Amino acid sequence: MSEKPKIGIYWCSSCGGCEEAIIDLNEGILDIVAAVDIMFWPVALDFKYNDVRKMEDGELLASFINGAVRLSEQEDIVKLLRQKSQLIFAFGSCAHMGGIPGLANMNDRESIFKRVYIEMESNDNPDNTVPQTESLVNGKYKAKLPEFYNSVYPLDQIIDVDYYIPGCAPQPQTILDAFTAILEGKLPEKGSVLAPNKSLCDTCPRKETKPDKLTIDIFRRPHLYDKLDDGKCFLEAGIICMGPATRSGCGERCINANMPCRGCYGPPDGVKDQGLSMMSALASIIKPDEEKDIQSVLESLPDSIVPFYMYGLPSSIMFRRKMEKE
Amino acid sequence: MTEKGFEPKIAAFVCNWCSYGGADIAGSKRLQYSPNVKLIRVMCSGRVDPQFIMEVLRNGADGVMILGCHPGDCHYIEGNYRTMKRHGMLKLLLKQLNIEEDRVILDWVSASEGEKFAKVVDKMNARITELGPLNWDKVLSRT
Amino acid sequence: MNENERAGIFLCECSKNISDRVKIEQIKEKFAALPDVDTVKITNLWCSPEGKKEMEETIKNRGLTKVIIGACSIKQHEKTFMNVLEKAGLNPYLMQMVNIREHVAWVTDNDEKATAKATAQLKAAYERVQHHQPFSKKEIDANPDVVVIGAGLAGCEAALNLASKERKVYLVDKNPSLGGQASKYESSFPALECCSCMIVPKLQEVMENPNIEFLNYSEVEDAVGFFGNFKVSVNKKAKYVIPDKCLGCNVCLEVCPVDVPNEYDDYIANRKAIYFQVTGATPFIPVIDEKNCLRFKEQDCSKCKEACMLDAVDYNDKDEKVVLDAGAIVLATGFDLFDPKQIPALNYSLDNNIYTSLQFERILSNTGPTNGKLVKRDGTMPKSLIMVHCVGSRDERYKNYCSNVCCSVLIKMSTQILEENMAQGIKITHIYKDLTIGSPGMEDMFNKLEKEGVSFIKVPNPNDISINKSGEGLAVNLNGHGPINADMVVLAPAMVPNKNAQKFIEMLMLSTDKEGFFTSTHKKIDALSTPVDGIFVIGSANYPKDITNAIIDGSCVAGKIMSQLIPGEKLEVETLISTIDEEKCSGCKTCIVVCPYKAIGFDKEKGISEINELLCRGCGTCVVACPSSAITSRHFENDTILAELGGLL
Repeated sequence: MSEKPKIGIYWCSSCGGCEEAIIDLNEGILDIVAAVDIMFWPVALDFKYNDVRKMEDGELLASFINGAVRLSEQEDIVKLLRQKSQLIFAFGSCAHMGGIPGLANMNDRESIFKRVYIEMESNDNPDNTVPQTESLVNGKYKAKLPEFYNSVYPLDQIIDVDYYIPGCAPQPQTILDAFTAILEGKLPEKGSVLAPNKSLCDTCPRKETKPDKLTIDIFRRPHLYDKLDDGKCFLEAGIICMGPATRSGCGERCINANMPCRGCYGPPDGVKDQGLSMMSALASIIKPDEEKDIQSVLESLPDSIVPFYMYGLPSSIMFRRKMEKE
Repeated sequence: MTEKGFEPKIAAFVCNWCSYGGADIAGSKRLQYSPNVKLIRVMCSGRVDPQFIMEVLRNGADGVMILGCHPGDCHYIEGNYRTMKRHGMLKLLLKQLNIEEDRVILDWVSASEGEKFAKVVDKMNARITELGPLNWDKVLSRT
Repeated sequence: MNENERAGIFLCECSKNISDRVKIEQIKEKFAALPDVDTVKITNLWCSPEGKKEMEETIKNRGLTKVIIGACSIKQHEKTFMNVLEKAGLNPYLMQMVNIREHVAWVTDNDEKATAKATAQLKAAYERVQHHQPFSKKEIDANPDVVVIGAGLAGCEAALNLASKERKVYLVDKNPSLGGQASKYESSFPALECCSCMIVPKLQEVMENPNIEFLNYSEVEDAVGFFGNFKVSVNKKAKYVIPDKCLGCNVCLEVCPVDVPNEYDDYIANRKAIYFQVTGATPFIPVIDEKNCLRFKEQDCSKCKEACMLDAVDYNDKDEKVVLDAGAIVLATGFDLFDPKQIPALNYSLDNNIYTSLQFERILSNTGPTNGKLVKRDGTMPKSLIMVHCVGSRDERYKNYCSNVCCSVLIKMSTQILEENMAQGIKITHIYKDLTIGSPGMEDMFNKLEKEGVSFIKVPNPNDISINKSGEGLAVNLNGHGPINADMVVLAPAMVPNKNAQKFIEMLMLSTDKEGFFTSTHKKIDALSTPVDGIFVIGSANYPKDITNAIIDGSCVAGKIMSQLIPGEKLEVETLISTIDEEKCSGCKTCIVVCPYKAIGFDKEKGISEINELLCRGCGTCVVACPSSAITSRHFENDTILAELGGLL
């Protein structure tokens, strides 16, 4: 038996970018592998769910779970991992806050199935078949599929989560810092997000260009604005940048690529709802005071979900869109 | 979807300087209005955080009222203009979330407008009764 | 609640006002069962002396740590009960008062619903007080001295009322002499009293008051600080005349070779480069205007110095910069007139014998360029005169307000002309929209004019008339009426804020209303205060005023300041303010523009915003604007409000 601590890595509803983020550690990954045994990692290693079931409770020091929970299978496995792990890390924006898949909470299962399996222009589905949890194949084999839930859940709405490693995907430094903290026993208070607690403006390379009196008289969409590379604070130009409501630690990669922050590191501590906080901030600095002028500024905002809830609709106060029926 | 016997749960933010006083005058004049509207005092309507509003809607309220000083009369000069802007922004969000925008209203009640206070409360109560319960907390089961 | 918390709930019957509707016995039972509730008491009147005593003793004897009072409006008794807590040795902020009278018992006749509502409101308070923190009052040292900017009648009156052995007043004016616009008037309405006879003694008092320092011919360049502690930087411009030596003999003016348009005569005449503000000005000492004096244009002229018998002219005089320390600032920056050139159809021009009301004041004034003779530009007496009211006033295209003063001024000037027989047989016609003559005695004056044959022609809007040259005189077209001919026209333009006062908006972080007048804290109940504590606006800087009201403003503001800024006493500052958590602020600057009191600044070194505790009033709008939850408003923290909301529903 190895003396090294054991860890598990699992993915739920995600794009695979979080797995890539681990690979992106480059030679850093060798240090991790040298320090721990990876006991479960469906993307990379051939372990079965049954191998996990056979483990003792708490046998894994930590499990790193990325992706949001959308399927019954995911719920089953994360609950299993919770049982077998001393610590659970929600890894990446989707596990942390629901992530981009969380935007599906603007719809429900029925409307998603209808669009994807029935209405989609490229489909050939004359019988209007939609996924079933059970079906008979060739009239005799019972095939089972996991259940597709009505909503997308961040990990902590399904199981107890000890720590959060934020980001879409988490930056190598964020991951390495987390590993170091685990191995050196320097983890902060349970429930912490393992990234700085100041928002992104703190480290933003464009901070110096911010005017003292920041006001907005029009909202602009990044792809329709030709001065993204002028090095100036995006908000001044009316480009929605989630930086003020988003935890720093990402290395400002979007800003350095002349794109505004979209909020993947989530809000700093104490912010209940990242999107509402940012909306409230922006609304507060709308310049005109006359009702009709305020309205015309607001009309320049094409959408109030995607710019503010790109990563966090399921973990927001709202959780999801209200649907017509129960 | 009006339900029989439905009594809306409504929270009304009142600012310390105008609308709280308006509610006082409504009382002094013994004006009768819907008792199911509950009051919460803040110093300025500008202290009303959109997060508070969504939080109460998510936790069982069927409607929220924000009552402040009339534009130009804010005790804090322009707090109510900020509220106006935030409320405008919040309405866009409510629309996309499929929540009737009448569930969150912003109105102005001065410290002398007892009648107006009673009137806007009753109007809100009637509108929310018409809209029915929000039922947001149990909109969808997991499966 | 936390361990060791002992909450006391005090429910008031209010002599049945509450208990007849709200079943407070039921509520008592319900709340007594809640965790950490030590005491629930009901009494007839908690605000009575016995009630207060019982509450105080209960707090002490039971060792209560939080208090909830279900009674009447906070507007009636919050202070009362805060005092009770203080007497009982409990911080007054550890209390929440719930209005179950005006907001509950009196607004429904349904006992059950009233009881339910009272229960919910009290439950909200119960949840809320768990988050209450103690706060203590903060006091700062304050300087009782006052800087008054603008030495017109409002400013002088304020200075005279404020100045005392314990309070110095610095009266600053950009002009050489006291009196402002009123120093140009010959007479005042309604009694046609000689203006200078009336005001000069007052101005002399200012000069002689040992506790008033008049900084004339001086510009305010900067002001920093807050109520109790302002620093005002002033540039005392070089005057080139030594006040102690000059007697005001006029000899220097006679020899000066320069002629420039005289701003103090509203440009209807010229003055010299060495000049008095007006004849008989206080102080009556000339200054040299270095913009126009030949010496300062590299020319060799020393005529004035040579003429002066007292050696009072000193070409080496220098600007002097001083910093004044004061606890309050009074802005008495006065008014200008709307420029009638903005309405081209009026063809306003002196050459056309069309004057503004202020220019006409100078014509009628004994100290004016015509020595009080009513004559046209060519020196002949007019036979007919038209006075046009409301020029640029009460009209959305220009200034959409009434200046209150102009109708009375035109009526006064007409009366003056007739009474003093300034132009034998002159025909005077007024063109007006409505007459605003609310001052005492004005109605009599108007009636008398009508009897004496002065015509008053009502038109829908005097701004729609046109004035054109016609032969030797002028033809006034009234849209529909045939033209009326006149030798002279006097326009009464709207009073607008003094353009020189614009700089104070930015400097003192003030704002203006849509007409450009300084914004008051409240238009009605606190019209002289501004949103910036310690800065006041009086006279026509506040809104167009006549002499009476300008002087009233001066007295009133003195009262306000004297009651707030007491020599030797500290100044209490707002307790329930907002604070920024340095660990969380990332310097996004959203809050800065949001603050109505400009209390938030940016600390460049730390890269974060900071709140000036002395300027913050605790409205909490910055808390809502802060996208990273770095700002907290005392007593109204997010968690506190959310807890209250949780209890409410």
